[in-house]
Amino acid sequence: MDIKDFDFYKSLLRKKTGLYIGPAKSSLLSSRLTPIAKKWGYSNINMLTVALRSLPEESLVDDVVEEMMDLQTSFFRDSEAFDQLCDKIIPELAKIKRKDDRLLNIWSCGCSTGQETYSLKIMMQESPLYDTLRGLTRNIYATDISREAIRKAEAGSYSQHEVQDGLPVQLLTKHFEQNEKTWTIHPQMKRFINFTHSNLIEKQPLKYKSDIILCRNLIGAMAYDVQEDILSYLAGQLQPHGYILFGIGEDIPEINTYFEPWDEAAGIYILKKD
Amino acid sequence: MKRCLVVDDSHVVRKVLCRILAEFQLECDEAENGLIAYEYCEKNAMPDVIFLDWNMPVMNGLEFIEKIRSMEGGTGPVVIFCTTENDMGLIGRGVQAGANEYIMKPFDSRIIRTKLIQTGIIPANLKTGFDVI
Repeated sequence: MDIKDFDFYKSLLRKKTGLYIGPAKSSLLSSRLTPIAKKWGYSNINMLTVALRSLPEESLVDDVVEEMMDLQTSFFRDSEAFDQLCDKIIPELAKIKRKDDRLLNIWSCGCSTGQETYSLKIMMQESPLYDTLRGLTRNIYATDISREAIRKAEAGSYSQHEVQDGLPVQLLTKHFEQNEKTWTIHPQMKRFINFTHSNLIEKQPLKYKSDIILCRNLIGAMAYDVQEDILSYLAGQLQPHGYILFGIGEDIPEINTYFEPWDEAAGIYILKKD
Repeated sequence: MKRCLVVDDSHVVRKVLCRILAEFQLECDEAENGLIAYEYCEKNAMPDVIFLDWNMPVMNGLEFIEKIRSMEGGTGPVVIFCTTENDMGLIGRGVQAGANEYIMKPFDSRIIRTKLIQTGIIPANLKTGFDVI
């Protein structure tokens, strides 16, 4: 792909999602867009690019943007973060919530195909958190910009490879139904999870502020000039006693403007005290 | 250095597994069926982790794990089934017989890595050659 075309896709992605794509991804981009060109009846990417530069249908733009996003995820990704949630953060919040509205709100922001969300749900359904959270309602609000990912997350069906990527075997056999090589999470595990399509750069205020926000491996993938704006929005959606989890080792230069590290190695932050 | 025993009747699978495990700084020995593996465990110190195929001639994986779990020191090793058997019922039987984890073939280094972390064989922050991928 020539540099002008690459820059066109780069700014399209930036405008629609805030995400940044570097020139090293140029050939990856070509290989991902080739099937989209075919699907829409264009003989090659150049024709697709010409169409996009004129007056394209909104659904074509959506398809292209969708294909440019990285949806990589896995069950219990970065175990350090889940260990901290299980051992310290959720028990601490449970204490606070017990004296308060007995409602624990978790936001899985950029939930992709749902593995992170279901990992949380499974963890809270298992010992020791099951007892810790007894009598508390725990809502998980899970959002992603990819409609395709949200559809898959709602279905809760995963391939053999996907379930093996992080899910311990005892939890797999306990919480999933097998149909040949497809594994589907039990319907009762979807209760109190609300999967919604949402674009982070639209900065929609949440109905309830979150006690925990998981926003892992997303902000670091955004253009620097978008990051600060989104960090400020996220800070506004977090309860004063809340915790926010970023990806381990994410490149977010402005993070300290709004948050202070609680366990930096695990990517866990709290609101910055004035 | 932690020691690992790979039990599989396929030479290729053993080689692939050993290559991946070496990357996680594990020392590897191989056995081509359950009986050879059982004899290995009698003669040597128990390995820290055993990767175990299900279908093998002479002695299969299920017979092997049942035998080894009743041996002296036989509850020590982490046993991870690594097999094409992917039926929920068989997975349950394997776990019932004492397997700590279960991998359905085909596998890759990512899956092996998570299983090794979750069973406490390697630390979560272990750096390997795979990280650059």
